[in-house]
Amino acid sequence: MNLPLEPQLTAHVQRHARRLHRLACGFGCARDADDILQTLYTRWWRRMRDEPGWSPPESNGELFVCVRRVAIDIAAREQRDRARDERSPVRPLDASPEDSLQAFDRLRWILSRLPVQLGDALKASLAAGRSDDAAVARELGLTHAAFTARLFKARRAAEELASFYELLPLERANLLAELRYGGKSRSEIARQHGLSVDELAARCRGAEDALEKNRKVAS
Amino acid sequence: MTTRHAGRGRLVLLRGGRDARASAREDADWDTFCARIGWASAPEALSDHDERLLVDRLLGTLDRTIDPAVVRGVAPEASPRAPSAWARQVVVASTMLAVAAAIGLVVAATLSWQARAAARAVHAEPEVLATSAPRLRSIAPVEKARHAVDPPMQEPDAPKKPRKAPPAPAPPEPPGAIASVRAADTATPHDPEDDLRAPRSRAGDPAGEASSRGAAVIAAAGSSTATVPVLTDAERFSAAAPSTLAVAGPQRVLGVETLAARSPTWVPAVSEGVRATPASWSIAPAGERWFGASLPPSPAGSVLPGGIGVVAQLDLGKAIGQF
Repeated sequence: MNLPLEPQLTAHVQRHARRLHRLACGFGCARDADDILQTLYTRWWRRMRDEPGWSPPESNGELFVCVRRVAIDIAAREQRDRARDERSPVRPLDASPEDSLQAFDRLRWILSRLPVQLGDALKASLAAGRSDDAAVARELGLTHAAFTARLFKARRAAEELASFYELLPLERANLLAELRYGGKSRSEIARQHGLSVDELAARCRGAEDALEKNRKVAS
Repeated sequence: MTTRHAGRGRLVLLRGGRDARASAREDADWDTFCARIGWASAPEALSDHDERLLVDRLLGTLDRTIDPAVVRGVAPEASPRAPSAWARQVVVASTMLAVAAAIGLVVAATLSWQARAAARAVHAEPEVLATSAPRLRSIAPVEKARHAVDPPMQEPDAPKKPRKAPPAPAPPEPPGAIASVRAADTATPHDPEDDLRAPRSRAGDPAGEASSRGAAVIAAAGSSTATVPVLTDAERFSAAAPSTLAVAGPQRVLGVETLAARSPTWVPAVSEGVRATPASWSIAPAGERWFGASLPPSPAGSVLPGGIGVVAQLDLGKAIGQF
């Protein structure tokens, strides 16, 4: 049975194209936003054709994940291109793609270390935009007040993780992020890293001192 | 803002003022937060026009990326633009078909022209080789008289080989008789001197003779100089002037001149077989998918070996499928 695929896809584009475009731009892929949308809809068209009854994602969280997946592919491709350009004698003067890659890496690092609930709220809010909190709250099954509170916590956590990422070496940033938002006890983390609890506490203090020192230097 | 409706006052609150300022502050904080975590704000949102363009580009890409079977099976029902794409493919396929037909016509015309040249060469070859016996059944008296008074051509010094004296011309037919020449192969009975003039096969059977002459015909079709080695310079530049009746193509001129020089009683050979083999074409669809152009083989009575035909066909379905 041939379903009317094109009207369904067109309606989806009318509903979510702006959101997908904003997501693509948010991942630092403004130049490739059109390509990302085209890639996504081509994949969805094929899946709709191959799996009758399947429909493209509608929720903000799913759209966020889909766009991030394509953005990761584009980032990997740009990293390969950058490595190739480094080997070549002539390098492009425009450094904006590199900046976009760094921002994208930081965003991925932060989102991967946020607690699940906070991460879902932040992703949905990033996908829907600030003007549609009520719809995002309904989508997550929360009241508007509960969503606002969760989003506030998510923002605080994301900003703190961003400071870890900016001001600390990656090993220390990972350690602090795991201690703050990993949801594990110190003994579990020490056992995971093959350290004693005292050694883990010493490393944590050293990382916090470095963070404070770097904050003062940065300010 | 207050309004008065049906005598009752109602208070309607409109958002703005402090709310707008708070919203702007929140937006600024949000933008700062986004920049902090590496989330880039969109430079500009998509407009309705951009959405429409995106849909057009997307569906246009889908029309090209999905396989043709899906395009024919699904897209015509789902897409209103699918018929236009299909029509575009049909136009392209029709153009290709027309080009293929034109090429086929050109090839068929070339082959037909070469076949006619070969047929004339078949009839001219016995005349070139005729040395002792006239191969003309009848000639026109006026033509014979004209050749008799033509001045001789200048010829280079070349040793003349002793040759047999040319035979006496056939008795003239009464005026008004049809000037026609019949080829030696079609004449009866068999002339014994053909064994001395024409190359024979090792077995010497008529079939071998026919095959060897067939080979000569094929060579003459490719190049008129195939008949030249048979003649000597003395033969080529004899007393008879070149005939002005040579009206065939460039490949035939040398042969006709040679013939005119070889025999003063020569007249252009008119072959019934050649005349009875007009160029015949057919361009017609042989089915829903196959279209072709064909040149039928020579008729059975023709001097040409049978079976020479040209058939060119184009699978329209596959041609369309390529797009």
